[in-house]
Amino acid sequence: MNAMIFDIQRASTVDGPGLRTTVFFKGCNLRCAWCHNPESQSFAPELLYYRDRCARCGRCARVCPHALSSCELCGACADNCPNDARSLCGREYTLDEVLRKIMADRLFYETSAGGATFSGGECMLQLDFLAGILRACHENRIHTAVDTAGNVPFAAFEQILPYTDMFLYDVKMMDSDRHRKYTGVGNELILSNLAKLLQMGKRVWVRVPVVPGVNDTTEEMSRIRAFLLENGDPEQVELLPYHSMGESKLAALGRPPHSYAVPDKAHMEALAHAIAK
Amino acid sequence: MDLQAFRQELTEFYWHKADDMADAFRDKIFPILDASVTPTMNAYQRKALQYDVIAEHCRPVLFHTSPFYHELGTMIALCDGCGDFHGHLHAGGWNYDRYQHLFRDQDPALYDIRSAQGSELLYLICGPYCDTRQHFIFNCKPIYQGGLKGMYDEAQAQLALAETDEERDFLQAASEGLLCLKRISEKFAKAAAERLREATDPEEIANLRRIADSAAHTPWHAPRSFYEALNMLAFIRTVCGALEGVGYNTFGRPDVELYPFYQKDLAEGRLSKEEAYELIRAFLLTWDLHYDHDMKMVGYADHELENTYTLGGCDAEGNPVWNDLTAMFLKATREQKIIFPKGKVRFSANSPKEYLDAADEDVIHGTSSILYQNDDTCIPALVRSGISLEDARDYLISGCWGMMPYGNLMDDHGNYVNLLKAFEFSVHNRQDKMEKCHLQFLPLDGAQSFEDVYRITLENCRILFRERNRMTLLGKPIWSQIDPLPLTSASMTGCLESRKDLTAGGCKYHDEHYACVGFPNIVDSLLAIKTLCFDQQKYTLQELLSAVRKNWEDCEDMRRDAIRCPCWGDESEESCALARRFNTDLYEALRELKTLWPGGHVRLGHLTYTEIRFWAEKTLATPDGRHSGEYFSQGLTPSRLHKIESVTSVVNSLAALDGSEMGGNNVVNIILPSNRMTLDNCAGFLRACAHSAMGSLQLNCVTKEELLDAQAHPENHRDLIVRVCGFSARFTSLSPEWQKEVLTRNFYD
Repeated sequence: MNAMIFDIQRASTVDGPGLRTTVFFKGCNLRCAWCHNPESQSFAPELLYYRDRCARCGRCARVCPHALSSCELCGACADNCPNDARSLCGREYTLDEVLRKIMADRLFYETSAGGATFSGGECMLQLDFLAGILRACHENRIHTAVDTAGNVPFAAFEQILPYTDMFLYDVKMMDSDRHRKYTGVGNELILSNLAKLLQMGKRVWVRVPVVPGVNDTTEEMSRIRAFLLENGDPEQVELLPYHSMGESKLAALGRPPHSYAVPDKAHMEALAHAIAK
Repeated sequence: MDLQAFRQELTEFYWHKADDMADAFRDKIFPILDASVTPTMNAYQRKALQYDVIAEHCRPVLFHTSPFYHELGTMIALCDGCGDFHGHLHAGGWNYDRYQHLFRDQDPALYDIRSAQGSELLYLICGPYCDTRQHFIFNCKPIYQGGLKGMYDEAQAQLALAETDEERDFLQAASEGLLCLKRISEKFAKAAAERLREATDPEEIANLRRIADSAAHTPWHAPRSFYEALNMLAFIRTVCGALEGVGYNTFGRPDVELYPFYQKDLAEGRLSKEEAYELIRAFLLTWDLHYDHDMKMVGYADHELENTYTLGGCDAEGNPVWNDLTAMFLKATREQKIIFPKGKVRFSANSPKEYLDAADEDVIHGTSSILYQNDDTCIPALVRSGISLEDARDYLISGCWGMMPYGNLMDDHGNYVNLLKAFEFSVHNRQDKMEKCHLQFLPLDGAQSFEDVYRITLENCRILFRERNRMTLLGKPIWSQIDPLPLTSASMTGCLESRKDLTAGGCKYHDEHYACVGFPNIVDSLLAIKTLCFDQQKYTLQELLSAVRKNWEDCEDMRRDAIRCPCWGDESEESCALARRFNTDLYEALRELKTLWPGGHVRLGHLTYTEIRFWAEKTLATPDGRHSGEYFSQGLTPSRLHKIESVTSVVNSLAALDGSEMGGNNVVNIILPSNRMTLDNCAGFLRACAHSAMGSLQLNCVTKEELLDAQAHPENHRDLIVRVCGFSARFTSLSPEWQKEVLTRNFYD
């Protein structure tokens, strides 16, 4: 059983408690307009080309089987680029391979109360693999977290619940039409799944990306807060301010840039206040 | 306490007056000593004369705003006590200065070979054979027990038992030195009493009364209070340094040694916690104010004040050390952004979380003024070197990262042994240099297998070790006939009992340690040769050597292939196995060496100082892909040529080494992102590090973006303090070259 994965980040401090290994699955069924990991959306491998890093040395053309006239995603150009101007995003991993990576840092999980986090993309779209790796982690007594946008049938959650210690759950906004406008899908299923997890008493950290002009109002935060209170308080609610780190990746994928501003600190504090009320 | 006035007064003295005073005092003392010395005097008698003349002529400097008595104005501000520092001789350096020629006189040919080897950067010791610039310890433990008087009584008792003239001379010189300390202390008492007649400020009057009372008592007698014990550390550092002409680089373990005084004062109502904190803060600031932290760091050691203290860890019985004093030293360092004295924070997998949090709090926010030291590796390593468990647990860090059992060993921290230079001679077959050094390293040319390459490389390390050892064994034995250290020796365990100066082997332990330079670069080079020339057979060894010899010119593809090979820090089975094998072989090679005095071991260490830049600039290209002149790796830090996947990979690689082989310590640089570290995660990270072979950890928590912003807007980043090479500095005070050195290190996301 294999999974399409685009990154495995070790010693992560932002994807759940403690020091963690975060496995980023490739492929997502949302198309968030602000997505900071645009390379995570497609299920297929992709070649990123960072024009500003390129020294025009021509080494890539020399090693490419097609002299860059076409691409079969072999990765030779990326392997030989001295400036990391080219990078191949996404490859298939076996379950054993991922588990070995996770197990390598077991000591760090023990000393920091950390573990493994499965993220994306949307990791729950490669469900059998996800369930398998979660189970394997549990068999090895590794704490597990699933970072999800939640846009999957609840049956998918039921399949992984026995092996998932906590969820990092994205909530963008409460209005379904606006949700559809900015992500491509409505939010009914997402909110319904979250409500069920909360009602079941599962450990959940809710994460709200704050995107100016999209959801950065105190009213929106209050609505999210009200929903959460109604369904059982999550352990933690975290606001994630929009950042522009995805811009260079968009350019490297040959896609147009975002047009969002980075929210300022004072505004973030006001929103945090609203969602904490 | 008026902190602003205190800062102002000490700054004025140390930045603008101390150096001129010290030079003037030297100019007064040297003629007196030159006129007083007679040809029949031996080294001990000369040293006693030096103590006596300095004690006679020195004048106490009492500050209006300071509660402490320690300053004599005989050493330049940045001097740690070393007789010849930054081009300034001080009065205490007289004997060494006048008689150091005897090192050469005993065997000029040997001396000249040694000098040639030193100048070709094969190794470093600062003096001819002994290193008077190295890190000395004045062991204050006996003073806490019975004062200097206890040491004096012991010296007198041993004098009655002395059997040789040398024993008698040593003990008489030691006694004279101790009496000189008493005289100087009494001068402080008298000066304070005199100043009291004119003082009007209530705080100054209180300080002077305390000094007049205490200086008449301590350190001749054991301290009676926390204040006296703390002041004694300042007194010994400055006054003994002035008399002896060597640098005392550690204040010991104040949270262990001062704690009984603190507890007693608290219990008897003589001291409040607030007063204790105020004293600690003033004590630390006293040294920090010796130094202008905005001065540009450019040269070899121009950004240093060699004062250190060690906190935490465990006591001699193995009990964790974490108490009010530990917290106060860390708090004062945070609050005042103190860089000197350099704080050494001992930790283990079982360190109390509160202790780690107190140490980490500033570090995770970009102010890295402490060094972490891993007990779980260091104590077993010292024990394996023959140190008793009790002494090993009581180790401290002197200077940058000199790991030593406290008060019973004279070790040479200038013993940098440049393995990478020997490797360079071999890779480049530099016959001219080898001839100059009278050393024949084996060239790599013609090696038929990787095992040949490995054997040649290891043999070259052995050749360098043996030669370094030969120099010590032949050149150093006359140290005690040139510049013995009787006053210092009186404090060290073993010297009075054996009636021998520490320069004559009087200390309890006789170990030396060799601080090896270039381990990661050599491991990476060996991996590149193995992979490219023998496993993959992509290039012949001669092709690779040719490319290296022309500094990779027109061979960029080959260089990139070399960089892509397995490397130290990538945690691959291959790199870990080779590093472990090489480290063990180095350990075994050193075990074969004799120490100057019987019963000692030569301990293996991996560390250096600013040589990672200065020596590197004079070292040709290496097969790991390094160009001529590019930085060396610091200690066991993975090379910056490689992008290491994760910081956990570095620590896992370190876990593959046998930490107990490195009784000479090792150091690793790590930079983690400041915007993502929390106290919990930092503590978790340190506990994981404790399970590896890591010795010293230079941890910076900062992003590259912050450093670049600090370059552009230094006024916004005054508290951005980074670990450099065994010391910390404001990033904004580093020269552009040193900023680049920090900026090009590996940053871990």
